Amino acid sequence: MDLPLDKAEVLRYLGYRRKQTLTAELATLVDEVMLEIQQVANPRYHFQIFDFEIIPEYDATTDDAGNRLARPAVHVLGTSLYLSGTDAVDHLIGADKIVLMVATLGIEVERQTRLYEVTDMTRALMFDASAVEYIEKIMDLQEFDVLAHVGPGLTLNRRFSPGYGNVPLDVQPEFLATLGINQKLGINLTETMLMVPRKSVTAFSGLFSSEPKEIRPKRRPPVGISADLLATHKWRIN
Amino acid sequence: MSNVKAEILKSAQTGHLLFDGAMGTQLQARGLPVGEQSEYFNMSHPEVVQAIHTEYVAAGADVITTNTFQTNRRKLPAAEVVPIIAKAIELAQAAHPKYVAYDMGPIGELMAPMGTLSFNDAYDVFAEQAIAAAEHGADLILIETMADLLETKAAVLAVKENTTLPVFATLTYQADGRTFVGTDPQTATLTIQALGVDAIGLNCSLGPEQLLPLVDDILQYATVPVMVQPNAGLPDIEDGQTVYHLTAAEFTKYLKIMLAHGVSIIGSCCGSTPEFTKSLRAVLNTQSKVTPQIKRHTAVTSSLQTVILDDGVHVIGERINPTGKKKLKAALREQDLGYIIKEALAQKDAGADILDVNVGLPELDEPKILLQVSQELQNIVPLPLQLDSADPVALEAAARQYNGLPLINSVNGKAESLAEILPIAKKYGGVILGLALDEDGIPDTAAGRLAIAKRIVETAGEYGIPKESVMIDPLVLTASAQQAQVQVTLDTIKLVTAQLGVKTVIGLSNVSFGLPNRELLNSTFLAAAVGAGLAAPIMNPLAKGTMNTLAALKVFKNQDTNSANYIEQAQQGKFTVTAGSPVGQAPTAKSTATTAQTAEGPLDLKQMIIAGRKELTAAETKRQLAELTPLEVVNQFFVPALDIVGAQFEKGELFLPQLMQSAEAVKNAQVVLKAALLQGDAPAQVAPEKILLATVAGDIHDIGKNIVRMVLENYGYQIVDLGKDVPIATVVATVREQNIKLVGLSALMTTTVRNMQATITAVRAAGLDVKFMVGGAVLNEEYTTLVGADYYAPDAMASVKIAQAFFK
Repeated sequence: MDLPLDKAEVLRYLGYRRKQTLTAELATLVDEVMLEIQQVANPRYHFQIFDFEIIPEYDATTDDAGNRLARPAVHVLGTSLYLSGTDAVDHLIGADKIVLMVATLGIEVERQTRLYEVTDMTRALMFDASAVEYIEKIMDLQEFDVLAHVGPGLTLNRRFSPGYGNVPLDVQPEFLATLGINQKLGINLTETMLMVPRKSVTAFSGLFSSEPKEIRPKRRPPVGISADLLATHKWRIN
Repeated sequence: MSNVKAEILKSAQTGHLLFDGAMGTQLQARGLPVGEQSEYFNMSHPEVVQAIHTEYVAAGADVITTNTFQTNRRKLPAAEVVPIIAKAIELAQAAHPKYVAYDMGPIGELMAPMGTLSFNDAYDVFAEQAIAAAEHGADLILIETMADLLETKAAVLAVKENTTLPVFATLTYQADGRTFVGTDPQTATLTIQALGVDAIGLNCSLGPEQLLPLVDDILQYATVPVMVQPNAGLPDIEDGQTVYHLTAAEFTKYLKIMLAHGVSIIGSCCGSTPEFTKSLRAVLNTQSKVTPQIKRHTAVTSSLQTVILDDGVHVIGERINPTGKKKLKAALREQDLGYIIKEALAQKDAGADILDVNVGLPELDEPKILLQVSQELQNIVPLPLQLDSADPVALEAAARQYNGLPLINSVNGKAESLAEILPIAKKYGGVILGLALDEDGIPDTAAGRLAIAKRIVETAGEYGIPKESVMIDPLVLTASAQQAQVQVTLDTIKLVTAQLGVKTVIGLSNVSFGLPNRELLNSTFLAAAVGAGLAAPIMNPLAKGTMNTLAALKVFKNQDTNSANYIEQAQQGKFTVTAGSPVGQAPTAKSTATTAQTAEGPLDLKQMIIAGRKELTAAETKRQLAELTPLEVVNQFFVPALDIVGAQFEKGELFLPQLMQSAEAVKNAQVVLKAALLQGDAPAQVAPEKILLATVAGDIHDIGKNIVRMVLENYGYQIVDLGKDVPIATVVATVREQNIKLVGLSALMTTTVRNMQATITAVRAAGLDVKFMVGGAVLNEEYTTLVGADYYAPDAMASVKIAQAFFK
């Protein structure tokens, strides 16, 4: 069974704006690649949940005026993973635990994209855009899996990926190593911190037992994805 | 051979070897933080590492693997690698096992072209470890948890070329029966054992129950001892953490079955404990050796599939060979790999099983190009390749980095050829194709050709190449010139098959050279040759008549089970022959161009481009060329259409896929124009303006760059496309050699924008007068200044404007 991908999102990735005419041919092509990505991909995901502590002065830099700037970090306990930056710390204010999540579409997508780059560039671009949408949906599904695993009464906030805000992308090697992702999901990292397969995502969320209304930032309500899909989409690798 | 080596090999071949169990799991239980590289524990907590080794020895392990899974200079600072290896071996030896295996895992980066790690860099990383391991007293090397077949090959070669130690190799498979990179156990086993490993198998990822069918697959193809180290079952998640539950007794139950099926070397992987080793030892104490019956196969592979040539007929596609092909020659000269890949895909879709790759043109650096083309093909086309060259240097270069087992074309009966080519086939594996000719030419009797074939098979045997890894080409002469020799070829096929037990290959279409209706001759000769025992014709898979004959032959050979494929093709009307047309002649392509209508009438070429009707423009261009010169076609149709589409895109009326449809429509039309220009008589063109494009080092995103390339080509610019992950030095050298004045660089990540800056700096430092335009998701005007570029191209049309202004 296919996941309901959001066509509007795929079109948005392709730079489509509403005033533009979408020809029937291109609209059909988008429908096609949204199905095809799900046939080609080999989705897998993995998460683990940890206790954490805030380290107020993890490292420090000096600004142009010579002022010392302390930089805080989230230490994922029992591991050597530190998520540095105020954005990471702020993201986990009030959280009981931290969830580390990774997902990938697998090397098959990489291969198919390269094939289309030779035979049909338009399709390559559309296939790539569908892949972006698909992996986001898989991350949405993973969040439901996390919630099912922890049981009622606990909530996730919005997922946050290294490389955004002031959380450096340089944390990727540690992030992946902490979860043993190279062996579990087959994701490799280049020297330039690029994940291969490229359609892979790392993210963390806070797990909260507090009142949902106090949780910031709110998890985006996923469109079309629900916990029911977990029964038929067994993509978790433990 | 050292005594220890002989002992290890003897144990593996005639008895059993018991390896230890998990190291990481044990270290974490003793305080290693999750995610930290465990190799450092050799230095910081040697007593902990040694204690674990000692427990495994006490539990009965014959072999202790060092705590060095990723002790490589891509994961650790270079200066720390050798000291850690030395210490790790010392700690393993201190536990007094029978043997110490140096443990060598994957580097942790994906090989090019999917990733950025080159074969030679991977080789160096492994060679450094292997040399250090040998120097510091390891008794063997275990290459394990490998997912990438080519990386495994680099590792095996690095060990074998730099040490004399025994080498065992195990790959890791997922629940779908493939490695993460897509290799199946059959393909991996055939490929890696051909490199001369002493044991082959699998480890990690799954529990023994799930691995059992994969182990049976391996046993079916292994000619060396088989090794298995599963995880302690499939883990669960408990309280958010990964936990292994399988007990030692349950684990052993499955390993016992594997031993009964013929596995020789066992151990355990993630989640296991010394208790598992103890339990396995107890089994081995009572278990007698089961030696599996070895089956030998004539087989070639890509990294994704195996083609077994033992039975049936298999097609070797001949079209990637520049002899007599103007377009392919031009593509090779211009490094237009896209053209070559399309040729490959067309042959695959037409039913080829293997693709011949010949890039021999006098003016080209054949070793370099054969390697490059075979790598690119392997990246996209799943079929095994036949590496085809008269140059041994080219064959070696391509065979060394070939991802799988190639067919090597060719050796012949000349002493010099045998001495040059057979070592390549021995070292890298694969099937060697032997031509039945020698210093005295091609014998005109079947007995004469058989004698040469026999000599080739025997000499190969002396080099250690088994008979099943040799195929013979009895050589096909043309019926128009040497009619009596046609039967000699057929007789030789029979003799070689019956007397040598070796499979045959022929270059099919030679037989019809110089005669009319060649396809009739080719397909009839194919039937005769298959009747004589032919295994693999080298032929044109796009020749429908011959392929139809082949489809029929597969029915008669019982290769097409229940005639399923034949019936399917018949139902699709593939065998329909129009009355009056010669057998097998392809029906002429319907001229769809004239059927495309608008309300106002048929579309002209300009409207086709604007509407993005890329399927129509080639035929319409051909039609226009009957009346107009190529330049007139460009000026009357391409230029006005591109102007309109470009303007609409800039105004935001079109979005990118629409621009691309139009660009592809032009591109397809340009192919026809180019072919027309190649036909000779066209007046010498003004050299087009050249632009170099590259995705910078460390970045592997190239869709954006490829779109820019296509659109710039639409506008008539000649693009020197260096591809993705392009080393800085390559950009500098190409700018200099090709006298480039405008360079476009692409980078998608903030981390790779640094390499954009480094590239620009390096080109300028070399004193080259060049302008740079840059683009990519993270780029903006500010970054453009920062990296030292001259122009920012937010999209493909912007790059056209920049180029037009620059070359004005």
